Order: sequence, then C-alpha cells, then structure tokens
Amino acid sequence: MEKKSHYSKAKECFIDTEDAKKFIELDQSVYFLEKLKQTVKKPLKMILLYGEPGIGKSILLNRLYLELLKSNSNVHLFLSPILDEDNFTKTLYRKIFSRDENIDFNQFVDLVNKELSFNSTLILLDEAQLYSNSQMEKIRILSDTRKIKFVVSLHKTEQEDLIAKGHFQTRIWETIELKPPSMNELETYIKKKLLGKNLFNLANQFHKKHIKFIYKYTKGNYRETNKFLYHLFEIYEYYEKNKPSKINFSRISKKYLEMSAIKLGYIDV
Amino acid sequence: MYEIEELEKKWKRYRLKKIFKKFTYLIFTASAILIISLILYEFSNTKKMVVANVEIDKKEPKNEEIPKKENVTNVEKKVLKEDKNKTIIQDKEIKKIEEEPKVVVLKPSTDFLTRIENLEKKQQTNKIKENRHIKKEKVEENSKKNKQNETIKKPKIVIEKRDNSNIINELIKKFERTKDPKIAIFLSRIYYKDKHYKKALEWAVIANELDNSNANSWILFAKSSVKLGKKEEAIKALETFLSKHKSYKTKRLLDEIKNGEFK
Repeated sequence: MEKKSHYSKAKECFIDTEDAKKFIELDQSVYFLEKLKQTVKKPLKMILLYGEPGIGKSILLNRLYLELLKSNSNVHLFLSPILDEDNFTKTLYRKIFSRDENIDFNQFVDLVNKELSFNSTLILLDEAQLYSNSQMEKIRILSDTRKIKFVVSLHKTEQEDLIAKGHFQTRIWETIELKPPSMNELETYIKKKLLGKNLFNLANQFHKKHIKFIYKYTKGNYRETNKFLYHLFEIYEYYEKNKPSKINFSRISKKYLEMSAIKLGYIDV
Repeated sequence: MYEIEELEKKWKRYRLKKIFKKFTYLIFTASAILIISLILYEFSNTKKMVVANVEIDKKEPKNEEIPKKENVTNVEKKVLKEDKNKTIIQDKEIKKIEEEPKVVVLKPSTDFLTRIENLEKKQQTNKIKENRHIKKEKVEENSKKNKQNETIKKPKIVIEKRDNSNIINELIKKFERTKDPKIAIFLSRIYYKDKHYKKALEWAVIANELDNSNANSWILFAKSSVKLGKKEEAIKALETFLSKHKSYKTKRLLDEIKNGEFK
C-alpha cells in the first residue's frame, strides 16, 4: 500500500466533519462547552444556541452530547431534523422509551407525563430552523411537561424569527450565541488539527501572515477555514506528485494560498 | 489534474493584475506628491513676490511726487539749474576720487531715517499747501531740536574712525530706489559735515529738484556755496526761496551770510 504524503494527511485533517472526537479545544469553544454544561443543569424548559453557519454549533452539540452521555443516559441528539411530523413523534418515542410502536403525539405526551420524572430527559436539536411551525409547537408542548428539556440550535438569522413566535419567547430562558474565533484562536485551531495527525513540520510552517491571509477571507468561520485548507493541501498534493521542484518544503507558499483563495472564489480574477 | 493547472493560469493572471495595480498606484501616488510639492513651491514663490510687491508699492508713492514737484517757478529752476550745471560738471572728476576714500565721520543715528519716513507719510496726507509749509517748519524746528539734542549728547558719543562709505552707498542705493528728497538732504548734510562741500552742494541740488519747498535743501545749498566761495550764489538762492516762502531759519542764514557771520 502506497504511503500517504504529509500533504494528503493534512488535506484529510480538514474534511468538514461534525464528529465530536475531532472537536478542537480552543479557548472559546471550551468556554461555550462549559457554559452549555452548566446551563443544561438548570431547570429550564428550553435553551437556545445560535450563531452564524459554520461557526461550530453542530460539533459543539455533538461534544456536549458525548460529555453528558457519560453521566446521563437520557440525552438524545438529533443532528438532522425529522421533517415528517408522525415520524418525529415516533423517533422521539423510540429514543426516549426505547420502544418501537405506533403512537400519536397525544399518547406520547401522556406517556411522558406518566413515565418520566422531572427534568430527566434532554433533547438536543440541531438545525432547528428547518422544523415546521407545528413541529415547533409540539416541542413547546413537550417542554411544558417539564419532563423533557430541549437545547435548540439554529442559525443566527433565524433566531429572531423563533423568538418572535410568542409561545417561545417565554419558554426560552437561556440563549447562547457562538461567535467566530479570533485570529489567534484560528491559528491554534489549524495547528491543533495538524498536530492531531502528527504533522509537526507542516504546523510549524504556518506563520502569522499565513493565518492572517486565511482569516481575511474566512473571517474565522471553521467550515470555510476547513474548505480553504483542504484545497490548499490538495494543491500541494498535486504539485508534490507532478511538479515537486515547484514546492518549497520549508514554508507555506503564498502562491498556493492565493490559488486556494481563487478556487474558493474569495479572489476574483 | 487539469483543474490545478487551470488554477495556476488564473493565479498568474491575478498576480499580473496585482502588480499592475501596485504599479499604477505607485505612479499615481508619486505624481500626486510631485504635483502637490510643485503647487506648494509655486505658492511659496508667489507669496514671496506678493510680499516684495507690497514693499515696493509702499515706496512707489514717493516716486509719484517727482512729477508733481516739477511744477516750480522758472526763476527758481533757472537759479538752481545754473548752479547745478556748474557744480555737477566741476564735481564729476572729484566725484570719482571722493567716492573711494575712507571718511572719518560721526556714526549717524539710523533713527533719523525712520523719523524721516514717518514725517514723509504725514506729509503725503496733507494736501493743503499752507498746512504743509507749517508742518515742514515744525519738522525743521524738530530737527533743529534734535540737532541740539545730538550736540548735547555729544560727550556720550564715541567718535570712531570707520569706513562710512558703506552707509553712504546704502543711502545712495536707497535714494535711487525711492527718490526720496529727504535722503538727498541727509546725504548732503553728511557730506557738508565731512567738509565735502561740492558733494554736499550736489546733493542739495538733487534734493531741491525733487522738492523745492523744503528749506533744508536751500540752506544746505547756500552753506555749501559759501564754503566753496560762491557767496553771491548762496544769497541769490536764499532770496529766491524767501520770496516764495517764509522761513525763519533761512532768513537768519541769509542775514548771517550777508553780515559775514557765516563764512
């Protein structure tokens, strides 16, 4: 089997994922994780987590799920929304009660009231902006039982819409806004990702000016940064294979950074 | 991968554009700096010229006085021109010699010049002739007082041997520039004090040509003439002046010359 080059390994580092194991502990992300952990302990009906797309909400929910799962088995994560209403009720029923029967929403609510204890179950809903109004209404009814608590994650733009819906206004007791990382945090993020694959040499080749260049276009958005670096190492991979003489192995080339930015449409040629 | 090669071509285009942009920016900035500095340079030059013009303009009105004062009576002109012709022709040769030697004089007070300029401004504002005569008499009296003061202060003045030609040259240059009869009188007085009577006479004539109403030019002319042995010319000149003007000082000098008190 052909041994993978450093650049191929680096490229794989930046494949966009929501895998909690790939959660990079930055100052800000650690802070938000801890804050979420503290918040879910409070007797709240609903917690709202919002921020720009690609800011790390999904991976944070994922990480929170893994952390809480260690101490509480009644935590359930829904990374993609269940758009069918019947299916939504069934999935919730199956997840919470570990049973696989046909049940309507009213029966499910009765069951929740009868069988669950106060504040015992936590549901984490990602991409909540995709849920319909009637689904959101059902979520509201379930949160009113005080037996199930919801952490709802959605894009920043939808936050106002959701809060504007009167029945949520009173139920959302805590809102957490995720903000983009600083340039230093982005540097740490990139380097930690590379170091996670033992690519020390590559991690050391990134200097402030390179980070500044990437930050200028990605604005610290993790998803955009991942895309940027994926393409950068893809370009490197190509040159290493086809024109290795063109590669300076001691430092990151500005040319390839610019080529990556052109490919992603950040630079208009 | 064809895609990467295509990307590299795009990148080359992008670099060229960037270099071109930088180059145009540099040219633009350099030309802007050049234009601004040129404008500033021009502005400072014009400012200097304006200041210089203002200075010249301040002095110009004095030149305008010359044609006005040319309206003198034929008698006065004749007397003075005769004298002038005589003295100037005689002095032409002496002039060359006398300009060069070092002159030992009392150090002149420059305050006198500023006083002259101030008085001159006052004179310009006075249009009525009579008033002007009265004022000039006062000026004469004042200058007399000043002279007396100077003589009183004499013990304090350090008499030194020095090259006075520089001051005289400066005064001549100033006179050429301004055509100020006061400067001509002043020069005449310096030469008279230094006993360069011909020079004194010449400058008295020049002053008189510019302003024949000033008694000082007549007095200096008369005194210098007497010193040069032209007593009758001096008497004639003073009498001509007194026939038109009243001046105590001139009258007294005329009497002194006639009596032989002034030699």
